[in-house]
Amino acid sequence: MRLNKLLLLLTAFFLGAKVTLADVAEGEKLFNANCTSCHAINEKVVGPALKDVDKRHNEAWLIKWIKNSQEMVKSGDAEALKIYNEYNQSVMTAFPQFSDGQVKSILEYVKTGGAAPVQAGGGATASADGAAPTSGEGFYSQTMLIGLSIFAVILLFIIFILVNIRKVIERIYNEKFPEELDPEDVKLPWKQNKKSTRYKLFVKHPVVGTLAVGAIITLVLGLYGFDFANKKVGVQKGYAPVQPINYSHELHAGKYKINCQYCHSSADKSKQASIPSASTCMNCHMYVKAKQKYNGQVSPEIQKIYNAVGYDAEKGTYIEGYKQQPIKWVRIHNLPDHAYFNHSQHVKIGKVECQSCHGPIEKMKVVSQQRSLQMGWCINCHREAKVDVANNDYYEKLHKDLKASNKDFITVAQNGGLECAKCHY
Amino acid sequence: MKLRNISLAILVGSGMAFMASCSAGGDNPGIEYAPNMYHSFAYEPLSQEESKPNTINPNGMNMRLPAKHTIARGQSDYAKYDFPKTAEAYEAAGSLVNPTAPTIYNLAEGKRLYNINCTPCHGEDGQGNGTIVADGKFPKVPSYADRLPTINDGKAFYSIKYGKNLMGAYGTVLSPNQVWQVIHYINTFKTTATEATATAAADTTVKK
Repeated sequence: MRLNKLLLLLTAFFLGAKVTLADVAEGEKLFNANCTSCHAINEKVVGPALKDVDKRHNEAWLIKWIKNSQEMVKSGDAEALKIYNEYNQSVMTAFPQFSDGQVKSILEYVKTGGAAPVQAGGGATASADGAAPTSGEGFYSQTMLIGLSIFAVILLFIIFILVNIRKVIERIYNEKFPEELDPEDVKLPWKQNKKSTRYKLFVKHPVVGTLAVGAIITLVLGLYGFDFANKKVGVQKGYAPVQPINYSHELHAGKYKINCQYCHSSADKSKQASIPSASTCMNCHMYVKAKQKYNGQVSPEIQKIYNAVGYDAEKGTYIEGYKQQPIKWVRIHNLPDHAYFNHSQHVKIGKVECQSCHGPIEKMKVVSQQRSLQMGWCINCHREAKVDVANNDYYEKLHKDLKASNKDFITVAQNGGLECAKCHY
Repeated sequence: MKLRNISLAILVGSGMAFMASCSAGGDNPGIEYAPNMYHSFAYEPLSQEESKPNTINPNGMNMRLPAKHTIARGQSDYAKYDFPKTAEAYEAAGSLVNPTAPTIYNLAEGKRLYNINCTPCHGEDGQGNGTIVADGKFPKVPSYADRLPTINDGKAFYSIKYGKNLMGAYGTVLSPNQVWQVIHYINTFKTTATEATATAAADTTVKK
């Protein structure tokens, strides 16, 4: 009899445990589908942190609140009003579609402390994924480079030895058989050797020699200077200034694959690609504070955005009456004032990838200018790029002419892309 | 003789180093010839000159906000979409009707804009598994198939333009017309989700 009771109890316990597990799984699903846009378990987001919520309020109250919080506020429930006012009277979405069981399962899930282990797992795999290709690439380029340079050094050493051996043999041979040495080959110092070019130039005709040397120096320096003036003066290729916020394109555009135009939103609408306004940053960084990296503190770089716009990370609200300050970015790509360039034309109509002019931005921790932005560079692309006449009504006539003329494509240059006044006016 | 060679080498080397120091790199933008031709005499947006600070505008910026109540060209229906950020306004926006038709162009444009602005969180297939969500940096986003039946186009418009809950406001990035195009594209997820389940069910029946 007792044994039976014990067994019954045990079964009940295990069944109970099983039910709870199932509840937690369902709760997790529901929580992720409905709650995470405002709530996190261990952190205050839009709404309060949900940890220990079952200790703060009783279950019946919570079920009522989740199903329709506004009704409770209107009916003057003291607990409800307190929360409503504490969170700037923002309304929690009502979930009348939930059954009591579903709400309970969400609460069960909240009790377990949330998806922390799952998140950590996700992070680990992601970083492992990220690390694999880089290490592979590094292995290829570095080992190859080191191997090749060692090989080159060995080869140079062998050449050096061979040349020396030849010299030594020659000397020994000449010492042994001096009679075979051509008297004309005997080396005199150049000042006495009247046949040497050096004697003729510098002793016999010093003016000619000086002029010749001068001409050579002028030529070499001139060529160097020409090259320098062409490629360096006024060309900011390689310019990589320190920015006010240590923003990494490698992280945002590379790892998270956020489209360039998410932030540079006017690239397809206007002349300027534009620096994003701080509100664009805040779309994500209202929530993303990178606290894990900085021992629970808001990342100092993200804090700079908050300081600029006046956002209180603790309370999750904007400070009223805050004197907002623009973030002073350093401009890198700068075309001279006498050249006109329009982003929207190239991005929207030309469908030119950002990377073709700005380089592999998605791999840069610090952005540097990769292209010279010189006229020859512009022109080169205009000569090669084909105009997409087929999918643009504006080029209807051009498309007809092209089909009539039996050609495959038309380049930008053929469409007037080399005319001076297209860019200089 | 040797001394002369060494001094010559030093001279040439230092000369080259001097010239190399003029080229750009790090914080140094390099040497500039005729700066008058490089830097605009007029105030250009997004390029403040240290040497010529803007003393007229606040914060020395060349850009400034448009005067209050300015309406951009081609947005005369702007006032219709002007809502305060309150819960009542969200409900009121529910009465808005999408004025654009789901044409091929609007859908394609909506898809392009969606892939730029929405995919980091909502994911390319609208399941709410974008890159930053998948990495756990941002909380889970509900899938459109789950959420769309509970809201209408007008409320979706409000959420995109003014932001809702954890979602930021995209009214500064997308024009009202573009928001409507995006909504057309998002609505396709509702049908594709049901179609997907239908095809999945069909597959299983075939396999049997």
